[in-house]
Amino acid sequence: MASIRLDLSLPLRAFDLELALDAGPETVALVGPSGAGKTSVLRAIAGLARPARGTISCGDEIWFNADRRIDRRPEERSVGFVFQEYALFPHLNVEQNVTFGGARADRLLWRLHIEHLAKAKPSELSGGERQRVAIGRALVREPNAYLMDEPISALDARLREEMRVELNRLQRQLKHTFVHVTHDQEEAMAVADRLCIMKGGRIAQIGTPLDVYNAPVDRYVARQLGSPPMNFISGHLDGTNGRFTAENMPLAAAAPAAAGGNGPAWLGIRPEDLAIAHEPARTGTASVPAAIYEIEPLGAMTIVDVKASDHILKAQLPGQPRFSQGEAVQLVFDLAKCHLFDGSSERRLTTGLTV
Amino acid sequence: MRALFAALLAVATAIALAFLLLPIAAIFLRVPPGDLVGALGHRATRDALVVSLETSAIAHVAVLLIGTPAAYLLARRRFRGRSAVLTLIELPLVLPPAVAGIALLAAFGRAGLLGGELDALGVQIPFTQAAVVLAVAFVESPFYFRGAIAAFEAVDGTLVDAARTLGAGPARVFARVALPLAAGGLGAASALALARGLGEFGATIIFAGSLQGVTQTLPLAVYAQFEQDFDTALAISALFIVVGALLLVTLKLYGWLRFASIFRSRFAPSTSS
Repeated sequence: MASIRLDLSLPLRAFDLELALDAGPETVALVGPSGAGKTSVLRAIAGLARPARGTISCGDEIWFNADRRIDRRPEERSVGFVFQEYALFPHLNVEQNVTFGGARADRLLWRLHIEHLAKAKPSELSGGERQRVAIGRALVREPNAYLMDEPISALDARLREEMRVELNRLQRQLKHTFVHVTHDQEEAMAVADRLCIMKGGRIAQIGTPLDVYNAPVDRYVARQLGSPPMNFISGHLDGTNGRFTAENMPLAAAAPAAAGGNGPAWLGIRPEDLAIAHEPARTGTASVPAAIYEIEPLGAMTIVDVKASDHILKAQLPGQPRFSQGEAVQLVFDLAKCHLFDGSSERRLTTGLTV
Repeated sequence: MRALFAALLAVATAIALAFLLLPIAAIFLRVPPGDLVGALGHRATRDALVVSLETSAIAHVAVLLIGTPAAYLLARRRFRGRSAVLTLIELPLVLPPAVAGIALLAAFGRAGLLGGELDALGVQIPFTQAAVVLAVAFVESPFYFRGAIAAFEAVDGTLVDAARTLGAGPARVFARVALPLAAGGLGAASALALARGLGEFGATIIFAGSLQGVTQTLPLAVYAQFEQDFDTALAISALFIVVGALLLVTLKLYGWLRFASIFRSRFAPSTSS
């Protein structure tokens, strides 16, 4: 049974990477801004970076154990590493690159639709072709774990979408552990069985993509997922009656008693949970007077920037609603979808408010 | 003002070029091509050519065989005292060759550091062809070391990492990744070192002497002929210039090829397939 378990501490330049992760036959996507330590996790698993403490194991094999002084060399660990920018050997042709790790290449090249490129040098390939060669090279040894460092971020948008689907299919066929590093939250949500949001060398939250999207533990995680990102409105939470009042905006809502918290707070709402109307709110919603600020028609949906008091909020509306700039409207909040975050700790207090 | 400055630059450049090229041109003006070939038929020249080729070849092969793995280690490993080691390696570069000759005598001469041990083994080095080889290797190896270390350092570390994750042990990484990727730089360093070794004079004359047919290399022959037969000295010098120019062209060619391959891989179109 394929699995990767790690619990380690790895000193990096800016901070110590402290991480515990238990991945089965699934795709775990590590997401976070550059410098969050994502690539270092892969390097530690592959044996290219040595943790100061901890353990790394793959199935029944112990790859690293600081206490027992076990540290398998990279060449003794069964990983398929797809490097950022691919790291193809420039002096070898496609076939030689793929067979570098041993085994025959012809069937694999055919499977990846690059058999016609067998004799080409990496410098003669397009980005998408290089990426296939890099994946083929990682596949050929039939490793137990796949480590993918931004494997598709260098491709253009259309190709990225195609490759996301292919990577998903590949994981389902191979039933091995895939650890997929990316800074692109959309890519992460698309490929991951579980998402692992990283911040400063630690895991901020781990869970299924939708769990993390719907119930982020804090404002940092909430900002990492979703495009356009979640809107935040600062305000004040009265701990005695659970009432949130927005700053500079005629908006108030009630939090359930169990939510806790008191003092400065943030209300967070995703763009798709905002609506634009010409009438004030129905029951169960709250609305504030606003004006249309900017319109981005994307065809299947429309992103509208709306100005309410001092705030500019992004609303994502289905279809192709027509507005004109400066038009006076009502901005409608779906309170059941609103999150409340503590102003100082930034932790999420609750989700689902009432009028 | 502006025109004056431009003229000043042009004049300085013209003087520099004339100063550097005039002596070289003078040799060829004094030696007709026929004489050049004739001088090569000269006994002393032929002897010197053989000695030079033999000793340079042996010294150069030794420098490559020992210098390449050593340069690889120094390029890849980070250890305490590494920069001290790198500086020490370059010390012979700034030594006057005569000092190098004295140093070699002090180490391998009869009364030298290892003199007793070598004597006991029945080995005598000074004033033999072995001494020429040692002198040539001593002065040329820093040139190779420097270039080779730089060439190995320029190999993309990610490629080494990739090779290791593909199951390659250290020896395979060296042979299949590092060596081929550093080949251009190693070739350039090798050419530079070879040129320096062929021209070696000071250390050789002190440590090995100038015995025709045994230790008299081409540069020593130039010096010897300069007192007896200036035309032959001129002819050998012309030969040197030709060989030197060939080595330089090779160097530039290597540099150009390297640049071309970097250019191709960096700026190749990377659009969709």
